[in-house]
Amino acid sequence: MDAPSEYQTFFARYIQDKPLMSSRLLLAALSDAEFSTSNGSLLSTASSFLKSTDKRLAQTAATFLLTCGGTLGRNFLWQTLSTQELPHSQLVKGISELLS
Amino acid sequence: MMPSVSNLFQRIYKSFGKAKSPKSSELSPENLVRLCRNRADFITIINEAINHTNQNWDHELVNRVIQFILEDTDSGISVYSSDTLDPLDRGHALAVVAEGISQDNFRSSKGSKRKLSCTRGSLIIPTSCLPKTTFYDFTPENNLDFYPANQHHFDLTINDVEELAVAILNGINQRIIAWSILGSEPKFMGSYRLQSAIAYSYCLQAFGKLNPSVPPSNWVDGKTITASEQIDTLKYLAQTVAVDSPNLDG
Repeated sequence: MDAPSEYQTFFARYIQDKPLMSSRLLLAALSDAEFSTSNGSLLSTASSFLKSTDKRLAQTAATFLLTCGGTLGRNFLWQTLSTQELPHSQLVKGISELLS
Repeated sequence: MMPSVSNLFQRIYKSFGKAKSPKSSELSPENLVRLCRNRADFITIINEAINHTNQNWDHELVNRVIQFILEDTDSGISVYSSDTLDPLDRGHALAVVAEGISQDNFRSSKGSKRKLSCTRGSLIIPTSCLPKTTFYDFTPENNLDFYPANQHHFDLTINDVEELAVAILNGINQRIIAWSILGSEPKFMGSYRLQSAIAYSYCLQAFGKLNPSVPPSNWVDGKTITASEQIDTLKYLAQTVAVDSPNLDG
């Protein structure tokens, strides 16, 4: 599954402004559908959700990065984990171990 | 639905806490496989369960197990027996195919491009993990569209859904319940295709040559999918044409 880059960049901005639950549902749906992306804006937006205090959103963002983002998504995840304090870092690491 | 007399005896036996495994695996399966369609939610449940360190489970997580794994129902929940906790067990593979085979996008007859796999999470739950308020009945007739899995099909009746959800979380946390995360190759080593190939291999052994045009006489049509299309779909999901030695007659 793929989509033009401009659509994905638009989508990245779109989910940033959505309520947390909507963002989570959209990322989960994309992961379940095995969407595949290397779009920097989309992966960056997903990475920003790793910092969420909502543990379901943080874990879903990690799942999205690892299942949809390939090597780039994995790099975004590790970059965020290694440079920032995350409210749910243990759970985010857990997703990484589960899907490695 | 009405339990058979033998199932009724099993319930009484179990309710007195004396359950002992009779010889027949149909009456007393070792493990039950439950499929979950929301893979992302399934992954977060497993992750939180294995990383849990407190005594008590968060009510919100318990509710998620009820919602995503038990689908908010307390009866008629399909599960499939498996001899072992290994996701490569044929019982698990038959469960995966039986649960998914009715999806329209696997059908050759629907006209649109066929999908090769789908995303799932699965739990393999030892029956010894089930609380006394949860019962299982052998119900081959309720397995709708994949005949080889009929003899593995059970329905759960749950009298205390929270108790079962907590038992599931405890089982995952203590590594007593096994799980598997399924998707397409090559991203997921535990792929949907691998499960289909295991199911195909078992069916070859049990039924002999599998030709969709001439299905084995003892392979019964499903409620909505004929024996012929069940075999066609199984071969497609297992990608049997991709192996080095394809069937001689195609």
